[in-house]
Amino acid sequence: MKVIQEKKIEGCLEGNNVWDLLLDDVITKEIIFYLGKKGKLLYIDSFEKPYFRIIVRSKYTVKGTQSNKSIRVFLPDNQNINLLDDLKSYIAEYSI
Amino acid sequence: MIYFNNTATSFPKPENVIKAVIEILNSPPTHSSRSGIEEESQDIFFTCRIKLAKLFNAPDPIRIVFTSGSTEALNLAIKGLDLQGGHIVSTKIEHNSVIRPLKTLEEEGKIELTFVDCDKYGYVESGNIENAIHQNTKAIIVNHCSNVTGAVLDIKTISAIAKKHSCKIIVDASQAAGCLPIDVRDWEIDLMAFTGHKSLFGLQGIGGLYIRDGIELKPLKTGGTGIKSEYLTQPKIMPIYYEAGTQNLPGVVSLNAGLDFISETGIDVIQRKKERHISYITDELKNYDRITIYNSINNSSGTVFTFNIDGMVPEEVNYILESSYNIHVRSGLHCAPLMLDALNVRPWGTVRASPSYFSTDEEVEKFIMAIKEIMRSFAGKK
Repeated sequence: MKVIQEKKIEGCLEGNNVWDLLLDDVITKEIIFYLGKKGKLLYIDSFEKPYFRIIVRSKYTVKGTQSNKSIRVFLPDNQNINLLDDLKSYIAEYSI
Repeated sequence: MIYFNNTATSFPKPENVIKAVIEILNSPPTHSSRSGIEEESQDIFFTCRIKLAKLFNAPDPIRIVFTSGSTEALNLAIKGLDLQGGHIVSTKIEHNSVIRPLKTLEEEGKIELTFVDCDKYGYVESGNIENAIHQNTKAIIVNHCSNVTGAVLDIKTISAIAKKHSCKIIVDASQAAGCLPIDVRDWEIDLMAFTGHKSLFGLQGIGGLYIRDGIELKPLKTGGTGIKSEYLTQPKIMPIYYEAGTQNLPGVVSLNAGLDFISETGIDVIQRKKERHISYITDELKNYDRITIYNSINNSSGTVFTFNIDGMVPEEVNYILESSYNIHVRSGLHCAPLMLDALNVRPWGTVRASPSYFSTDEEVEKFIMAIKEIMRSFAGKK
């Protein structure tokens, strides 16, 4: 799986270093658990579409929804966005 | 998609608004924005001003000038008045469209500034505004209705306070226009900013400023007016004195149609339906321990449901509603950062849901169900 686009999210949450990553395929339960290996995974399947959150300590938090095609990445305010590259590489290593 | 962010921009627009905009976009641009000065009956701009004057009970339609929205209108009011060396009283429920122009003037050393506290529902007591007035206070600038909690201030009383102390009163009616009754004549309002894209059902990019007869502002911009072209300086003729440049014809057309919709439907009918939605949501969720509700109870517009769920940042609630349920609300500071402490929601703000007149009972039920599911699923999780 590949990240095909990234966008910085600006909003009323000033001061956040928030990015949306668009993937080239829909998010499955399998890739959620693959991403979850990087940190602490919260997976809730009681919603209309299952939701997940992965906290990778001192690095970033990833949020997303199963069957959508994008994930939201929260970097600490002072954190370099190079961390996104690490995550993108990890996603690229995923194959069904 | 369920769109519950009408406090930001109303959606959907009434059918007649869509039809009017399509018609004007398909018409040659011969509809002079300036013909109204001489040919009033033919001019959509003048027609729209008449309808706005009727809605706000303004004595004279030409005292309403079009702007790109409330922000430009408020900038015109704040920067156009001679406030230099004076003290300004405003409130902590203001939007950044008021806060930022005022703070800029303060930083430039041109004004002194006091923001009066609000209570935990965003209400500001009129007496507290009077207590903040100094000998050199030149203006009171107040939000009629909070975009965060829906608190509605007593503008008539505040205006009377302004008159008593020989201050000007500027009202930000961004949320109130098209939603609440406004009477600029009876309330003796000096300047009132409004926008077209919220409860007036127009497009983004159209709004206006009511300027009471006798108030003269320095224009924000000067330039072409389409008439009086022989003048080498801005003609001091209302409303073109403040409307330099090509006017937003599609915006005015949309606003004009939105005003027709409000007039035909009834502002009270529109308002009652929104209030019914908010009241139902509040009743369904208020007894849950994990939810904190911030919308004003008394003195309320009844148009917003503002809340937080214990243990969750508002952004996460927003994200789940949007991505898992396709319900669009708004989270964060809502461009009203001075309210954070009064509501005790620093640093993340709140979640705000604002249904519209067109929202259905089914959509409201789905929103309530989603909030209950989120609360249940996150119980004990951080």
